[in-house]
Formats: sequence, structure tokens, C-alpha cells
Amino acid sequence: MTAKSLELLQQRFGAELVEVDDYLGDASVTVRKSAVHEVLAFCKDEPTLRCDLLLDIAGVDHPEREERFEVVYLLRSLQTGTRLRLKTTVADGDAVSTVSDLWRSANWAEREVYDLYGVRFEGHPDPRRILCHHEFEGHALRKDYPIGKGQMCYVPEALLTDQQVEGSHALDVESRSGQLQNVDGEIASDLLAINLGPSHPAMHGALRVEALLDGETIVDARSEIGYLHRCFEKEAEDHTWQQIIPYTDRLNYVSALTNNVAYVHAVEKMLQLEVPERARVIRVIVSEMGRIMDHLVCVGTNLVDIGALTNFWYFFNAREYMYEVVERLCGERLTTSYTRIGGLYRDLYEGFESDLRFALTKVAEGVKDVTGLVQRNRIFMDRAIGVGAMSAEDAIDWGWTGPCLRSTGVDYDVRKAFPYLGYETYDFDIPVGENGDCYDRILCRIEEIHQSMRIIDQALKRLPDGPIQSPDRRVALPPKDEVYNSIEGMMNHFKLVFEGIQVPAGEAYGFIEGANGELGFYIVSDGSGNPYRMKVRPPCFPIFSSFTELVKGQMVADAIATLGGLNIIAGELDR
Amino acid sequence: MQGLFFYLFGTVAVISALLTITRRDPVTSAFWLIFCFLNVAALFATLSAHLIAVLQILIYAGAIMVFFLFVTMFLGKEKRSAERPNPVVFGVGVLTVGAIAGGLMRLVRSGSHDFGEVGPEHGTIEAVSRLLLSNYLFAFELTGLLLTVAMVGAVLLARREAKGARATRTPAGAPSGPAGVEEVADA
Amino acid sequence: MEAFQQMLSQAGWAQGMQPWALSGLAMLFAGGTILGGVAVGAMFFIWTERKVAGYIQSRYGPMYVGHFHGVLQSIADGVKLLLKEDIWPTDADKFLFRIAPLLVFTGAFLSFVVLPFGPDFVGASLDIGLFYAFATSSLVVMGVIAAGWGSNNKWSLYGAMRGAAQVISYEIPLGLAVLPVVMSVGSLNLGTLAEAQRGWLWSWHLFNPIFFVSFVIYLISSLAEVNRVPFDLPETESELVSGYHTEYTGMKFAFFFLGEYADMFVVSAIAVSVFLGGWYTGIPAVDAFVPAPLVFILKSVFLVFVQIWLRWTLPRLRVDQLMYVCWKVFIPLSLANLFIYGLIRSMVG
Repeated sequence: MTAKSLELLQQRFGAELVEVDDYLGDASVTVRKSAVHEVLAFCKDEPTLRCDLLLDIAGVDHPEREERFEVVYLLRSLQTGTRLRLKTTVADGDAVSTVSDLWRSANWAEREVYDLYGVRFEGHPDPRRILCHHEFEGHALRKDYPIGKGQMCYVPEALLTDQQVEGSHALDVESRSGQLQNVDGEIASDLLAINLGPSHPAMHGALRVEALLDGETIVDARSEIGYLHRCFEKEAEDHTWQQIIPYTDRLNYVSALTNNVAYVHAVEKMLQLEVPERARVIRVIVSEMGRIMDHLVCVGTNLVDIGALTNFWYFFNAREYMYEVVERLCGERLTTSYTRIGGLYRDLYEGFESDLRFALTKVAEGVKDVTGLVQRNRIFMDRAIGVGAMSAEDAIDWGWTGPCLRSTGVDYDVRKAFPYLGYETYDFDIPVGENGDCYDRILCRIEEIHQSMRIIDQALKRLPDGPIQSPDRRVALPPKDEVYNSIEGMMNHFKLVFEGIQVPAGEAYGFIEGANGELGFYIVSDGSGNPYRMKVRPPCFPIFSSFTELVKGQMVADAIATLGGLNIIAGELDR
Repeated sequence: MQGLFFYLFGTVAVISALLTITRRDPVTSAFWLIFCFLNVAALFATLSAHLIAVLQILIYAGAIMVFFLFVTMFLGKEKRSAERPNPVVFGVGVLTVGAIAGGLMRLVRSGSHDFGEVGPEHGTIEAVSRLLLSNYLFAFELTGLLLTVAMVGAVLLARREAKGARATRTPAGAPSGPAGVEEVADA
Repeated sequence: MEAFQQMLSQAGWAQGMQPWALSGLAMLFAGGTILGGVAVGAMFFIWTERKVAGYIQSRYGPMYVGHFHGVLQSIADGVKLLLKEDIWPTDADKFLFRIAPLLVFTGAFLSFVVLPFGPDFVGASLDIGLFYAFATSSLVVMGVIAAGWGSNNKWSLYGAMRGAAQVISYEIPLGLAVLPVVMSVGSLNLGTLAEAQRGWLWSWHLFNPIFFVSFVIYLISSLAEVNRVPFDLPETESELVSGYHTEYTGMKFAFFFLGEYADMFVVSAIAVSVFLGGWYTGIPAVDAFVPAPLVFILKSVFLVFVQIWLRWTLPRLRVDQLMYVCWKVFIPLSLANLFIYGLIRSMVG
């Protein structure tokens, strides 16, 4: 597939392609800046490629080069299975033409590149900063931006009246002037601008949405994120590969285990490292545990948003049993840091299986109770069916993945489409919805809990004995007697401890099915002990970018119900 | 006892009526008006007209004033008028009130109307209903019809407006907006 | 009140008093008794709510204060609220902000006057008691509006508007629902309505099919009337932060709280006297030696428990659905119910 798509592109755009590469099986094409839009449009429309999903756009900074910035487009086709990485280079101050007219998911992704690198996107409808504060000066991910330099920013952004930024049109006051404005130019009083968040009970984490309400109907809305931005990606560039693992706990803090697995999965791909079978099975177990806990939190809090508080307790009680297992396994409840490059932090403890099975029976009980309380509940159905509905095409266009995408009827799951950790050998189903509304999202998640329990059950049954850490000397510390008795062993130990794991130069995109969708790490290594660039592809970033469109025309209560069902985790959204 | 209550409630009613027309903030005024209504209701109660008293609270203080407040809130805070009263309007108002008060006083003094004593049964719900459904049946039914017509008209007006305003924005199948609320407000 | 007046007139120290002073004193006593009862009762209900919620949600609820299952928790909370700083939002409307909690509490408190706890235990046996109770409970919405407007907070304002629309709307099915019973008994006096259900269990109005429909409509509408789940839209903590009382702290907040729980009891007590046989146990022989107020209060507490139970079971409706249920389901249904009952009565005679 990779070779074929590269061939096709070469035939079509031979002159525009600067470099073609398929390192580690990732098809990668570097295109001249001027042809970016054309090539991407081709990738999207060409029937044999059909890259309908723009996963993410990453920037990379090479200050020593003449065209110092690389803009990397990660493409995926749900129909043909094509995976494609398209790159272009751009000099400081230059602009790339926007692709937000091709994929709506490009809107926020390009804003992020602009925010963190200062690369402008020509024709972008809303070229504002996104993760950093609007008063922030400089671009944080440029290599010449000092890592310790903080800035104090105070004035909150006025989202709805923000017209200073050239080309900003999200509110589009002009076109509705008769309705929105009175003679003095102030917003007419039958519309009320209201701030949802950042401190609002329904804004899980810290999100901010400013909505313009007509009665209780949302006429227009704009969102602001970045309240939890702590520059994970910049931090990663300053840490050794192993040291980054604890930071991944804080991305999606609801399913930290899955994040740990995702990160080491990407790094091991770059190292071309095989992990022992026992570690692989345990990783499957813990990432499914993470998925279950994530879904419990998401569905529980979503039901609270709809007013059914009791379900929250049923789920959180079950989650508490899961957390007890996690705590015994990792020593921590939330910040698990359980995986290591090449293996795991430590083996399962004695009695893990019976503990986990007990916890899972509790989860099953909780799920049964909640399903009984809500699934056929008239009020709940009225509140959830048809609320925040998204069609499959739109969802893909917005870059949705995971349960949210599946609720629209697309059966895309990384575990099935691009199996990793041996998922192809497990027997499980992918639940899909029909309407992509709040109701389907909740039911999809609940069914995924069942499927994850099936996977865990199979994994526990097949769990082989053996080591949990790869013996590969590039990542594993040598045994003690070797360190003490041979110079090679001691050198190896010394190098690993002082310089960290050396990942060969190159770049790769490693991805797994996180609890909320495709969780990917796009990593560029220069062969040193630290990553040169690490871009996380958090599943909820593109999902939240569609939120304001999703709730327009809905009522406030619907917006709250919708938000809960999207499972926006501010930790990975803002990074 | 009777007299004490009469003067107590009467005075408070007059004071709150005065506060109603002197407060600048329409919402505060409305609350004084409600207070005034409550005192008038209390006066009715002392006259054994319990039904009227309760109706006064339920309909005037409860329902109608809620709609007043509702509308005031819809109009928004900025629109609260803070202007000084127009002297002409003020003068005309004073004159009108004076004329009505004078006329009433004359009516009472002249004794041309018979304000005879009524028994405690006069204000009970049975007595009032009997009157409404016998002597005044036609007027009663007519009023009911009139109110129904007004209500249907109000609902229709709100409906049409709501549709016109929302048709362009609400995607098909999406739940309709606060039409329900508006209908109620108008009804 | 009459009972108090009688007691006073027999008491030695009150012999020489003027009649107006006597009745004034009696009023004070009656009012004080009710006020005390309301406050203690509301605190009890708050504790009940927390315990019931706890057990429904497989947890304990308050466990420590008062040693036995946290029975004194409400008192501790009351003391805490009393000692809390009284915070005023900037630009709040001082007058409205201050009277709002009082209006809410007064509205709830006034209704207690007509509740027939027993044949002789009633504050004032008004001819139009039922009507009066509805009227005073509509005062509560005034407090909600004053709070929403006075707080100068958009969330509060939304809560207040929702509250106003909701309470006014649901008063109509509430009133219409009890009318068949009123037609049957021929009185609006709550005591008389209860009295009409003397005898065996099946003489309760609940067991008449027409009245049963009324009862269901009344029960659901009363949930809306007191802003309880699934109709807690004025305060929806996930949407409106805390609705109309978002800005309130300390004792002012406590008044809203007390008012809400007192109101729950009032609507339950009305349901008991209209539909559930008032102070009668349903077995004539038992009625003779069981104290009437105990029966009445127990039944009302049971209905309060039902409200709590529903709160922790159901999700909440959306505003337009709430209005839909009222205007397009309950009002036509209760009108039809009334009409059918009238028809039956006129035919049977």
C-alpha cells in the first residue's frame, strides 16, 4: 500500500516532490511549499488514496536550515487504509497555504502550528493563537525559545467580539447585523453573551466557551482552550526518552495507563525493538483497563451533566475497585508510569488476576445498574437522542476518531485497522452507533467496556511466563554481575544511565487506539538522548474543535450534554 | 382588632404603592407593587372576602407580576429607565389621581350608594360562585371567551415570530428553541 | 390558633388581658410553633435527603455528627452557615438580594397555616385552604426571581427565568388536578377534604380511578412546583452553576435551602390531605387510638421520601421538554379528567 501510494504521487507530482521516503513503513513525502494544497487535495480526492482523515499537523523547527520550519501533515484513509505523511519546508516569516478548506480538522491544527512555531497559513479563516495566551509573545516550540522562559498574561480573550485579528469571522457580525446589532453597534439585548467556563461545573477540566444565546438557544459560540497548557512537547525535548514517561501520565489523566503504552509503543517503533510476549500481553491488559476507567468516567460524568447523579456513583464505585488494582500494580492511582521502553516498570503482583477479575465483576455490576437506569429511560432518551448529532462524513472531516467516530456508524478502530500488541489475535467486536448523537456515544462507550472486559479475559487466560523487559542492550540495563565484572557491561550501564536511551535518527508516527480515539506520537529523533521533536496527536483535540459547530442552534442544556459525551480531557487537549 | 388591622394593612399598602411609583428600578418597583397587592389581599381577608383575597395573591401578586418581571428581565438591564419624569406627564398624572380620589370621596360622602353591611357569608367561595354562575353568567362566560381568544392570539403571534426568526438557523430536526417559554410568557 | 386562644384564656396569668392582646398572643404562639416546626422539619428532611441519596448511591452519607448516622449533621451545617461570611456580589441589587431568601422561606412557611395535621391541629381552618396554599406557594417564585435578578449574575438570571416560567406553568395542572376532588367533596377546606376520606382504606380518594389520574398529575406537577428533579431546571448545577442561588452564602443560602425542603413538605401534605386520606389510617378501628398528627406527618414524610427517591433516580428534562409536558400533556389531561368527572357526576346525579 505504501509503495503504491508513493508511486502514484511520484507519477502525478514528480517535479514537486523533494523527497520520498518510507522509513519504518511510514510513507513520507516532502513537497514544495507551493504545491502543498494541490498535493493534499489530490491525496484527499484520488480514489486509490482517499485520505479522508487529516489526523494532525505538526511543526518541526530546524534553526540551522535556510527554510527552518517543517510542516508535517499526517493523513489517513479510512477506506483504503492508506497512511501518508506529507511534509513541506517553510522559511521564517513565510506562509503555507491553508488546507482548512479540505479538512475542517486542519483549522485548529494549523492554528497550533502557527501558535507554537509562527508559521502562517495563508487563507486560514481564524488565524489566532490556540494553546498559548493571546498576549503571549514569541513562539514557544521554536528551538530558540528558552525552555524556562515564562510570561505573565492577564487579560482574558474576548472571544465573541474579537475582531482585532485580521480575517477573524467566527462571529460574523456583519452578515446578521440586523439581528445582532442595534444602531449603536452594541449587541442587541435579546441576545445574551455568556461565558461557559473556564470555571464551570460542566467544563470538565478547564475549557472556555463563550456562547451567544437567544433565549436558551445557542446562536453562536467560540471556544478557547489552553488553560491547562504546560508545554509537554517542549518539556519532552529537554528530557531523555525514558524520563518522558511520567509526563505521559498527565496527558489523559483518566486513562494514564493507555498513554504510557502509546508512548513506548511509538518509541519502540523507532528503535525497531521487539518486546517480550509477556510484556505485550500485560500492556494489552493495562491499556484495556485504562479504556474501561476512561469510559466509566466519561459516561458517569456525562450522565451527571444530564442530571442523573446516581449513575456517577455506580460508575465511580466500580472505578474505585479498578484503581485499587492499579495502585497495587503501579504504586500510584493516577500517575501510573507503568511502562518502560522495551518493557514494563515491573511484573504483575501476586494475586493480580483475582483482584482484577473481582474489580471487573464490580464494573459489570455498575454497568448493569446504569444501563438499567438510563438506557430505556424516557427522560434520558429525550435528552440524549438527536442531541449533538454528527454525520459520519462530517465526523471524519473534523478528524474524529474513537468512540465518538464509531457512534456515527464508522467502524474504524486502530486495534482492528492497524493491529498492534497482537490485537489481531484477540476476539472482540467494534460497537458502532447510527446517529452519532449523545445517546449513541454513551451506548458505544458502555458496549466498549464490555468488549474491553472480553479482551482482558482472553489476555489473562493466555498470559505467558517470561521476562517483562526486552534484553536489548540499547534499552535495558545489563545484569549486575556483568556491570561489576566486565568493562563492556559497565560502559553499557554508564551510558544508559547518564545519556539515556539513544534512539536512531529519523522520524516515525506511532499510534494506538486510546480510550477516546487515535492516540499518536509523531517523533523526530536526531540520534541524541532526547527527542528532537515530539508531537502528540490527542484524540480530543480535533473533537473539541468541532464543538462550537456542533452546538450551534442547540440549547444550553444540550451543549452541556454534548460536551460530556465528547469526553474532552483538558490534560491532553492542552498538553 | 378589625380596625387595627385595617389601619395597619391600609397604611402599608399606601406606603408600598408610593414606593412603587417612586423607585427608579422597574424590578424594585414591581416588588413594591407585589407587596402592595399582598396588603390589599390582607384587607380583603379582614372583610371576610377570603376568595378575593386569595385570588388577589394568586393572580395578581403571583401570576401577573411574574410576567411583568419576566418581561422586564427580557428587556435587559441596560434598558432600565433612569430618566427624570417629564413634568407635563407628572402634572397630568397628579391631576388625574386627584380627580379620581375626589370623585371617590364625594361618592362615599354623598351616601347615594348603599354601602350596607353584608354578612360574613357574603365573600365566601359559595356566594361568589353562585353569583357568577347565575346573575352574571353571561358576563362571566364572555370574559372567559375573551381571555381564550386573547391567549390563542398571543400564542399564534409568538409562534409565527419564533418560526421566522429561527428558520434560518436551526438545523432540521434539531430541538426547537425556547418557543415554549415565549408562549408561556405571552399566554 | 383557636386552641391556643382557649388555652391562654384559661391560664391564670392571662386573665386580665384585653381580648385583642389575647388573640395577638395566640397568633404569636401559633406562628412560633409553626416556624419552629418548619425549621426543624426542614433540617430533618435535609438529613433524610442526604441519607437516602447515600443509600441509593451505595455510600453512607453523613455518619459522624450526633454519633447515630449523622443525625445532627443539619444542625452542624446550620451553625456553619450561620457563621459564614455574608458575601455580596458587586453590583448586586441590595434590596432584592436581601429579600429574596425571605420571600422564598415566607412563601413556604405561610402554607403551613392551613395544613390539617388532625381534626383539631390546624393553624387556620380556612374555607379556601387549598386555594390559599397554592397562592402562597406562588410567592416562592417571587423570591426566585428576586434572587436571580438581584444577584446580577447571568446564570442566576437564567435560573430565575426558568423558575418563573416553570412555576407559573405548573400551577395550572396542579390546580386543575385537584378540582375533581373538590367537586366531589364540595369544599376547598383541606380539613374537610381529609375528613371526607374517613373510613376504610378504599374510601381514600387515591383509590378512585378519576382521582388517581388527578393524583399522578398532582404529584408530578408538584415536583415542578418545588423545583425538584426531574424539574430542577432553575438550579441545574451542571448547566447554570447553581441557578438562582449561585451567589448566596451563609444564612441567606440556608433560607433557600430551608424554604425548598419546607415546600416539599407542603406539597406532600396537601397531597396527603386531598388524596391519601389525611390523618386517617384507613382502618377505622385503629384511627381511634393513633394520634392524628402522627399519621398525617408520617404519610407526608413518605411522599417527601418519594420525591427524594425520584431525585436520585431520574435525569432532568430540558426547558422545552418541561414546557411540553406541562402545556401539551398535563393541562389537556387534567382538563379532560375534570370534564369526564363532571360528566359522570351529572349523569349519576
